[in-house]
Amino acid sequence: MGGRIVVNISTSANWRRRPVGIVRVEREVTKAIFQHRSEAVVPVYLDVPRGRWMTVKDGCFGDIMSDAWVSSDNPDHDAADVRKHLKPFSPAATDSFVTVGSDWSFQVPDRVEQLYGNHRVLIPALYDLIPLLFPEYAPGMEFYDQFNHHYRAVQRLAKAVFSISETSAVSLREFWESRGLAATAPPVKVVPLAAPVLPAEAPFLDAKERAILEDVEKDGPFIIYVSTIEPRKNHQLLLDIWRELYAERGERCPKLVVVGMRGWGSNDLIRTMERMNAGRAGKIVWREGVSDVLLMQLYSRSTFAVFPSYFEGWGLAASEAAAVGKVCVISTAGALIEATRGLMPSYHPLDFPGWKNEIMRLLDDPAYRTSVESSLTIDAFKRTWQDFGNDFCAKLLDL
Amino acid sequence: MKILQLTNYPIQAPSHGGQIRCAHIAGELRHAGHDVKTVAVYVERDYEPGSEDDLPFGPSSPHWREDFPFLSDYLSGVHALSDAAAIAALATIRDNYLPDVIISEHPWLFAAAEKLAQGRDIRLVYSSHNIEFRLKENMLARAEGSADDRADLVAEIKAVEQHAASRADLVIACTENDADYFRSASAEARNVVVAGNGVEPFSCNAGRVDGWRRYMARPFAVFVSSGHPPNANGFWDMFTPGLTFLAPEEKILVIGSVGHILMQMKGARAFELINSSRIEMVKRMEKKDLQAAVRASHLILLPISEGEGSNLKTAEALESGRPIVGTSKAFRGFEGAALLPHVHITDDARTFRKTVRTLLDAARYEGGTPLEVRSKFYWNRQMEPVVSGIADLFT
Amino acid sequence: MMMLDDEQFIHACFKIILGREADPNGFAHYLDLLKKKKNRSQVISDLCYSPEVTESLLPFEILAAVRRYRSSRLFRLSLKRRVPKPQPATPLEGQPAGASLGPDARREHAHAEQVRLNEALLERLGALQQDVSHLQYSVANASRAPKDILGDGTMRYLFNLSTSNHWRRHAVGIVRVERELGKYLSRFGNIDFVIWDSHGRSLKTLLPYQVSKILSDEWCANGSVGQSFPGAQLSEAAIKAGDIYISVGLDWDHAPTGQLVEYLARFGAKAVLACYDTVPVQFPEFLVRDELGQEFRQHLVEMGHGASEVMAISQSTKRDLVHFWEEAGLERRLPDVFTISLASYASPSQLPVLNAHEHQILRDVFGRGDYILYVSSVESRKNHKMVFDIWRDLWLERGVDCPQFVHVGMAGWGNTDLLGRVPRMPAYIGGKINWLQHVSDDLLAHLYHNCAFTIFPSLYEGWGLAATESLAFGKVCVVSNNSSLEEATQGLMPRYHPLDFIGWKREIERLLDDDGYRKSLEQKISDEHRSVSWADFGARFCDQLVLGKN
Repeated sequence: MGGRIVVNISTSANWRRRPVGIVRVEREVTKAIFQHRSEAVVPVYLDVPRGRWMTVKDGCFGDIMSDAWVSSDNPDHDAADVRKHLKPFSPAATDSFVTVGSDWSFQVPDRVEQLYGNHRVLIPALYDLIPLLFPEYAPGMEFYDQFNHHYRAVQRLAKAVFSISETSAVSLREFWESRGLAATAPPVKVVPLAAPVLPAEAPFLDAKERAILEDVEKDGPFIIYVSTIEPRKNHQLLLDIWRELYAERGERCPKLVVVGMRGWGSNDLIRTMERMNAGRAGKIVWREGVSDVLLMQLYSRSTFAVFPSYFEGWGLAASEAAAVGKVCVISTAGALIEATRGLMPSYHPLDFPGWKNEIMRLLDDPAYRTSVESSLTIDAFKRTWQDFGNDFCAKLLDL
Repeated sequence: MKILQLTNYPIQAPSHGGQIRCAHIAGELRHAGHDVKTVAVYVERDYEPGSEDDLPFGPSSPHWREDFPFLSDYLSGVHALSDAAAIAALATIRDNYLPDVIISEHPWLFAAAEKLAQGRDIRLVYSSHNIEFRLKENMLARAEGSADDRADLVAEIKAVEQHAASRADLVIACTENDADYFRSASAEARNVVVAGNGVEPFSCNAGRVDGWRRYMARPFAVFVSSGHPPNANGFWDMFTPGLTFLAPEEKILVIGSVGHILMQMKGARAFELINSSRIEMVKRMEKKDLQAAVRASHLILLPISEGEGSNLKTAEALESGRPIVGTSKAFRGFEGAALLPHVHITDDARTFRKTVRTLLDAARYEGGTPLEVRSKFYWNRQMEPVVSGIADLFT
Repeated sequence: MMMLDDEQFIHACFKIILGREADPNGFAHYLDLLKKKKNRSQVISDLCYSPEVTESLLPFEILAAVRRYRSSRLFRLSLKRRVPKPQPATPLEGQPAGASLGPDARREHAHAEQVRLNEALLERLGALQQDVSHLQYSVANASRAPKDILGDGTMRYLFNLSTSNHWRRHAVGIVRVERELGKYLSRFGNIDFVIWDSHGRSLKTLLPYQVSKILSDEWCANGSVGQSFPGAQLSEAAIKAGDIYISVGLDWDHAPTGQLVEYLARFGAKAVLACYDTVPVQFPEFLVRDELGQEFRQHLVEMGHGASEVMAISQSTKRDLVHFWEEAGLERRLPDVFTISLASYASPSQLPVLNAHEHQILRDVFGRGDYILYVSSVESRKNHKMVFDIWRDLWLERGVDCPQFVHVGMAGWGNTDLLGRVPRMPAYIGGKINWLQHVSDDLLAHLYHNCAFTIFPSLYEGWGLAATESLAFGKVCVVSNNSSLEEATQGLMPRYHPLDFIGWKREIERLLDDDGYRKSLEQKISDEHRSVSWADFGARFCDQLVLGKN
């Protein structure tokens, strides 16, 4: 390819905290492209108030990509730093325009269209289509409208689309098909994300973290679910199972450890969690604001993990459990099976008897559990961000 | 002989078990003809000083820890050993009083006592009330904070206790079990005597006893206890899941500061409303009235599930002559009494409740506890080993 | 009063009660009423409660009017609470306070005095209303045959009507049961009806006319006015050893069990109580009021100590109750627990006529296609969430051919998040989820009649009246396989674990798509389902009381 590779780094520029999710992906994509073709890279930043694309001076670009950028002590304040280092940007006909942030919120394809007309220069990302497929699992109808508009624009303007999973890719193709847009749609290419990596040396936990860990472990085996608490994540299934387990087993009931922030639409659920017999007996505990290090320790000390989400675009927590050699019972909906290479026991997210029986088997039959755990030591769970970056460049940019 | 008694609390107006024991030790030694001076290193916020010699300990000391209030006695010992003003004050007392023997009540002040005795012909006595490190370990287990931190503290406390046991010329234990621990390789005490807690004969008025029976209207069980969390937990442990075995009009009479915390314990929650409806609480009572209330009861409850040492309440219960339902821990040091027909010992909650139920339904027992059993537990008898043990220090 | 002719009677009433001459319209209206119904006490009652009396009349005018007619020999009006007997008129007795002052002097009195008198008037009007009711009752029952006797006549029973006394709106659930049983038992002469006076901590006896009023349909009609009968003004029940007290209402609110058993024990009387379910014990997370959890546990423990017998409304409830007592460790012989199935509300021999508004609703529902009906308040225990999950999939799979889910019932508490999400569901937007509230019994009958089938996926029930109703309408009802729903459907209906989504969905699809299958189940209902009426319920209860079996 002869042309420039324009890379939208707005999300990374505006985020000064530990990078997770979409921010992480944008940073890794940018670094990978830079590694392969540094001379062709032109970073751009969307100056939202003025509604125009700017580019970033060289020194600042390096800063943004450095580790120091994401460990700011004052993240909200420092996010504005980038604005001092902007300069004008002019498009060129042979550009490719790579943009992988939460673009639907900022009408990014439309703004690219303003610069380039209907030339297909755009290389956008697809994480999932949840607000389109399950509008009741987004906080409001406005998300449906955003996604609808965005993916129609993508169909019109993209050269190729990067998808994090085959499941998401299929859902996008079906969306276009159902709207009669399949014939002129761009190809969707799957580039799976990296798997979590275990730190090489033993983790350091401070006193408070050690106390949390002891408190969780002290009453016996525990099962862990790591996720924001919101309706799509289906914590309700687990509460219903634990209601029965506690009624059947009393003090011998295992502990359910729910790790995650309170999301939208979950007040009733959290109230239930605290007031039910199992909750009052300390058999369901909730922790938020847990560091990565402590989280990996919690995974390691758990008996196994669960992930009964109604639908996932990928499902990082399931592969996190796999990374420490723990079984994670997953739902069959979405990309969880893909993310765990089909090695984990899986059930329809509403198959209560299936889930409950599996949980009891994993608890009561250590031989069974061990047999599943031993199948988890495969290379697929060792994919690095380097692997991801190389794969992205090869599939989306022919590099 | 002149005896300097170091305590963690003033004992001039004894109300709790520790004060009562210290006061009787001092009293019996005086009875035997010795001169006894008591000096307290006490927690300021918990007590008023008993004399000008008493030394306060509180947040102004660098050794104070707000997060572990139940370690204040141990920390006061650290303070007494390291604080220059405290050391000086104690040295002055020693120089003015010239004791032959220094008794450390509890192990906390033993190191300070040792320091005072250095280079002089002063005998050291460690008067124990408990196996302290186990008690503190249990309390720390229920507290917050990191396990390492807590483990370190337990180890320090254990060391203090071992030091006192192994270095004292005489160790006084409350029970045979405690004595075994002190003699063992873990503590290596050279010279141990056992002197259990005692009780005073009842002197309540028969009319008042009748008054209590009329007031309570039906046969009732009585529970007398201080506000020590293990006591309250023991109550609910033995009555788990709650006081559901009592009929709507029946009540347990609960006397003492345990009333302040009893309904706050976790074990009270499952049947909270039933529990409050089945309890008649009196938080403070004057001694004679307490005796009358106890005598009026159909039976006495001793649901002790934690702690070593011996239990004053057990001695009082035997003295009262009423039937007793208690745990084996309650009868540590009272092995002789365990075989009496009106004493029922069980560590199983189901049996405990059934026994209380049966006794409440049965006719009132008026057989009492035989005098030869009761009088064993009077203070003068209980303290005999202390008096002879100290006398023997100089032979 | 009885000796006047109709015209004279009306004139007298206007003068006495309203203090004026009868106006032509009013006169004609009441004359017409008397000609049709011949109910003179009704006339008095209507006038007493007319707006003119309750809103505007000054007290001294009434009192002056009374004074003016004291010598009219028209009738004796008792100002104390006694039953007025039909007798020749005698002079008015008693002199109301302040009547000796002339009207002019009264006008200059302070406002406070008027307020006080207003209150006294209202109290007297209330007493008058009571007297009227009492009188109506006596008149209605004057020629009635002597009552039946329950048992051999040696036992006396006291039936607690406290819950019904306080419940002045449409009666459902537990309140309905108390009312129906009360009505059944009112045929017996050896049953006294009582209420619990919480201030005096004693049982008070209701007078027959009060019982009749409480058990009348008007007492529970929506918009019915008036107070409950206050216990303070009734006399204490005379209880002796061996008497049997029966209470089947909301005891934790109106007649706390601990207090009752203590009270009855004093006399040596026995208590027969009821248990409907143990929801607060098993599902404390579903309680609106957190404290109810402890109150209910206390209620069950006191019941275990103090009741001689307990009625459970299902075998499932009986099992749960006994299990609770065993876990609680009461250490005593427990009460005998007997089971009596509840009756069905519906009497669907003839569908009622709907008003225009109701008809529109029905038309709208029917117009959206075949529908599956769930009659239940919307609360977490009732498991509407699973049904919405099923409809999500049905809409995805069938699009506009998705059936309609109609659910009838008020929103309980604790479902805000769920109900907030439903309107964004494609199935809802497509018109396939339809929530109806404030549905009258008449409209409900039609909804049952026209539905494809019903469902009842509740996480737990003590009985499950909607399931019984469904069968009474000849409609298949898919039920949960736990707790009492199997009993409520007499074991005839398909059952699944309440959270077995896959099982429920498959069954719903089969009932939708396989007509033969559905019809076979409807036939089963027709052949085997035995309806239980409230009379059956009452009779079985009495058998249990008297014979110890039912």
